[in-house]
Amino acid sequence: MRSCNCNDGYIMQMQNFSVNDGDGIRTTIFLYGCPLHCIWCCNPENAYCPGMGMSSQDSLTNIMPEIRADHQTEAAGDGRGIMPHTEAAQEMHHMTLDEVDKKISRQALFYRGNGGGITFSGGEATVQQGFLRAMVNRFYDKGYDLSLETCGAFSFDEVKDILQKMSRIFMDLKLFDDRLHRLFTGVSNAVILKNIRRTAALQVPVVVRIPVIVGVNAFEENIEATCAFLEDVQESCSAGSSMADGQESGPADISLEFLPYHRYGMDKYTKLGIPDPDARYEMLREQAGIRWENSQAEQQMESRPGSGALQGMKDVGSFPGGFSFAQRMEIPSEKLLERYREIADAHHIRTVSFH
Amino acid sequence: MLTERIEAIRQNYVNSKPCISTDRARIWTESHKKTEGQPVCIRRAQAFYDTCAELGVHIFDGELIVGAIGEFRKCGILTPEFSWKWLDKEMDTFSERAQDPYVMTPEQCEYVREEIFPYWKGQSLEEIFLARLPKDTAKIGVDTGVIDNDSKWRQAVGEITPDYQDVLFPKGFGGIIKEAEEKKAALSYAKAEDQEKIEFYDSIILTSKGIILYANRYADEAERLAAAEEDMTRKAELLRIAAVCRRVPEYPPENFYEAIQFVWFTQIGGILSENPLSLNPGRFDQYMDPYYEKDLAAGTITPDEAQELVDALWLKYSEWVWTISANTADYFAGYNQFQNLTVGGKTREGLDATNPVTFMAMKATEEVKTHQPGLSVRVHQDCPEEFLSAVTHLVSTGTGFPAIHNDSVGYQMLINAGYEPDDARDWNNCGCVVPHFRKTGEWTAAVNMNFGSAIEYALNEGKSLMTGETMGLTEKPAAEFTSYEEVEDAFFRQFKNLCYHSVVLTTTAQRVHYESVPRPFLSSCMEECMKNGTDLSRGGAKYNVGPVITGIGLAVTANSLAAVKKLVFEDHACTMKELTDALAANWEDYDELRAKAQAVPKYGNDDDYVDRIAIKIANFFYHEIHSYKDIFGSPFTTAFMGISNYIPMGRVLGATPCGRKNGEPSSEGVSPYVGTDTSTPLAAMRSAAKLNQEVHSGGTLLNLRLNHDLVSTKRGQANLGSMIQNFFSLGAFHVQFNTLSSKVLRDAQAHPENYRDLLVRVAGYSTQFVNLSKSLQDAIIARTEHAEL
Repeated sequence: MRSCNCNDGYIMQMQNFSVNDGDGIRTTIFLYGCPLHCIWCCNPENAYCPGMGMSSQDSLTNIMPEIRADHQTEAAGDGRGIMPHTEAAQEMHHMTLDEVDKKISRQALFYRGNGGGITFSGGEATVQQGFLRAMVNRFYDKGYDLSLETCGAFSFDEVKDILQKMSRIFMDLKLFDDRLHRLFTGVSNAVILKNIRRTAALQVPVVVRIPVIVGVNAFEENIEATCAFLEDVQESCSAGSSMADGQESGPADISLEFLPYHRYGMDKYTKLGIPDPDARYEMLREQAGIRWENSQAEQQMESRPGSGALQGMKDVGSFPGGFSFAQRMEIPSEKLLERYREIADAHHIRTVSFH
Repeated sequence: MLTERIEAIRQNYVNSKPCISTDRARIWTESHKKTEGQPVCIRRAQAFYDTCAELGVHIFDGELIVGAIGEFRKCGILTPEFSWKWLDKEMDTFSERAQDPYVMTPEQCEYVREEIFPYWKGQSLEEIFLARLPKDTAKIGVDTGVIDNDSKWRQAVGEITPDYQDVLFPKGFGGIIKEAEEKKAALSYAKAEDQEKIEFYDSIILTSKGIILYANRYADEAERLAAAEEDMTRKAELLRIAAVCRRVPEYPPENFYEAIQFVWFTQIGGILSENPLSLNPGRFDQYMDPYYEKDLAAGTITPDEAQELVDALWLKYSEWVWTISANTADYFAGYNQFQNLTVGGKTREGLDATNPVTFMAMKATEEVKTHQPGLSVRVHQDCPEEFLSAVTHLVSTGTGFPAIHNDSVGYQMLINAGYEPDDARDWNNCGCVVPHFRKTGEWTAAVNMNFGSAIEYALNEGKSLMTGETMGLTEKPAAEFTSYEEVEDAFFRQFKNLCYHSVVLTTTAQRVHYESVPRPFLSSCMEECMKNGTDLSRGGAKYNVGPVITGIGLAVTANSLAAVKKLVFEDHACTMKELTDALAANWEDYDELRAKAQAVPKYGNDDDYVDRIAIKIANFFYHEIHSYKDIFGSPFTTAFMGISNYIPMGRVLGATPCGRKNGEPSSEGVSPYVGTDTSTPLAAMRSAAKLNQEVHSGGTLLNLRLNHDLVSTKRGQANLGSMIQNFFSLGAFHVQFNTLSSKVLRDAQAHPENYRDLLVRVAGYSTQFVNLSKSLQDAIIARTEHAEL
């Protein structure tokens, strides 16, 4: 097992006085870099840029090979937004562990008495695994409450020691159907599902988060499948039988948070000079529409193996029953979220809100 | 839920314009015509008695707590014995003035001009004070905005906390008369030193009889109204009112109702006697709770009934309007009489002091939404969770209340001012944020001193930048300064000079008050005055704490010195001459240099570069002011208070090196300059806590703005609670939060320069509103509007 340490890395922002990323008053450290390319992303500057000046040890060390493959296709020029490097670089700050520590020490007073602490986020915090580990170890030893926000796409064995030091882990599960997951995020969710299962078995409280977006994942089959999966994870953890790889297991603490989609990051796309989520959604919609109509012919066409997300469109002819493109991505109604909470209840999955 | 009765009174309070009653001035003046030649304390006491005897009696619709100072429900009175000149000049346009307008009819104006003012010509406090004031002090200290103490010679002092615990409730005014008579019996007219005391006790007997008579006239009126009342419920209420007014304030109250009515009559007495600033109800929950618990146990009151009485008192506090000059209104904006009511904290014994009345007071402020009383809470590190939750819940309602104070720092401030520990532990707030105690005579807002002027004079050869007039000490041209230390020395030289004139203004006023402004009614509310036979104005209280000089513009001054240091002497971004030229030009055509000045570290961001300078100024201020003594031999006291004084003091201040332009507001209390604390409220708190707050026994003030969203949930309120406690653990005294509406957010969108510190919750985190894109701002405004529904 690798367990590299790295005393410096790239940080987008340290957000003090953060109150929605875990208990109490927190500092959220947004680490640079992300293996996913969610089309609705509110921090597009975070996306992994091949060739960026990552600290030498850390460059994508923790991205799973299959995800890396997706990226390679993307980089081959399929039209999904790759950042212009210079713009993104302006948002990125090289910092050392000591520099981060110094900033944290000015905030620590305000964590007291409210369960506050530090939340590691991104991008995807585990991308800079060595730097993350160095910070986690330092701040764990200082007694701070630590949380992690992750998209779930990491190499579990490599970051297990980090996960175990968390008092809460937020894991996104954006779409249950793998084809749709690939379509909207650019990568498969197989490893994410597996990691949710394994992380829950660590007996660290896990909050699975679904960013609820009408037109993407806000359909009952998706919620239903997700909840059924989480119920199964919960049950198999309790039964102590979840881990084929001999990992210890015990009753899991899994809850679910529905985060309504927001459109706050839109202006960043203009700044970065790349198509915004609406444009990209429209593009997907149009292409899917065409393919939908021609699906029969489409299926007979020869597909390119190992193709990326857009090329994966050949599969859209068999969208799961509940999915259909909307006019554009929309914010869900409170009523809809209420319905989803009922679905979770039916599966004995506790819903929570940190907002 | 408010009762229908309270809601009706509240609607009237919200919707009616305050009116001026001339009755008190008329009776007061007529009385003085009849007492010429008598000792001044007797003349004032007789005028008080006559006012109580002759003033119209008004029981308004639905009232449970009665007592009015004039014929209008929302009413102000005139006190020509203090000053009539400003009235003469301003009253014709009272209803049009921008800050705190009143209704005064042309007939009223004509009447007072013909019948009232001529009598006081040459006799008023204002005229005597101005005749006595040394010319050089007058030049810098009268209506200049540089040093200001006009509330101490155009108005009465006020700034008193009547002692309900040891004097009023145990004795009643009947008991006070008895005590005065006993004291008097032991004195002899044959002894010169006794003569003054005899006169003092006579004045006490007169005012005490006056307030008892006033209450009995209300009992008469209630009985008269009851006889004519057909609604049986109201009839019973009126008879109850009559019975209560027969008993209090002559006798000690026997129940909660009587105690509340007693408090209001005492307030009426204070208002009629001198129209005071900061007549503080003090530790309301401490002296009211025994009556509540007793009634509750006896089954004679329900929690709802008690709440209604508290609500009624809150409206009474708010219906009285403090009549003040336009100048004073600039400094004390918002019809604010600063009747400060304090709840929570610790008892004299050191136990937690919260009780059911604590929560009733907070509920009243939340539901009645009156601007009075000024609700202060004392928070100690081990206070009950439900109390802290109630505090943060009240913050979330967006009223700006309560003012949140650190229990132990209030204690320490009083210890430093020479109080005994038990008394220090029993502190309440006076006016704005002054830790106070009910056995104290202290001018808690003696002078406002414009720190920014010291910078201006240091860099401009002693002259005002905007008028060119020499106001400070002469100084060499700024271009000749060769080091930052030299600039700082020049600043402190000018600063010392401002301190000197502040002291002269105060001691001159104190001497005039000593001679000609006795305060018999308020002295009767003070244990030691009664014991010693000495009026409050002559140092009769147990504690005579030195007058408080309030520093205005700490942040502007620290930021400006930091800018000089960095731009001229470290970065060499400009010469001293270029900088002063830019200031003289009000930064016109110096955009680039101004941007550099604005980029220099600013106080309020936990940056030691500039915070160190702020600490140095604050410490210097304390030592300099503390070295002077007042007429009672007490060392002067410092404060960094707020009120609204940073607006007028900014108005006379030219452009400052921090990037501020001509006439823009200065900074308040220990708060950062508006919009320059661009980190987090936590950083602003850290900067403020670096100042040695506990030495400034006149109080320190920090105002912060929060988006309503941050405190709209229980969870958000809990976070705010721990934030307050953590801030207090650093040794800070006060913090108050403004939560923001979408209206403010829209203004912030239009004028981002004024809102650079405005923190809003975005998605999962909070950040500066002005740093967000227009579309995101719109989104947040929409959300805030949604939250307001």
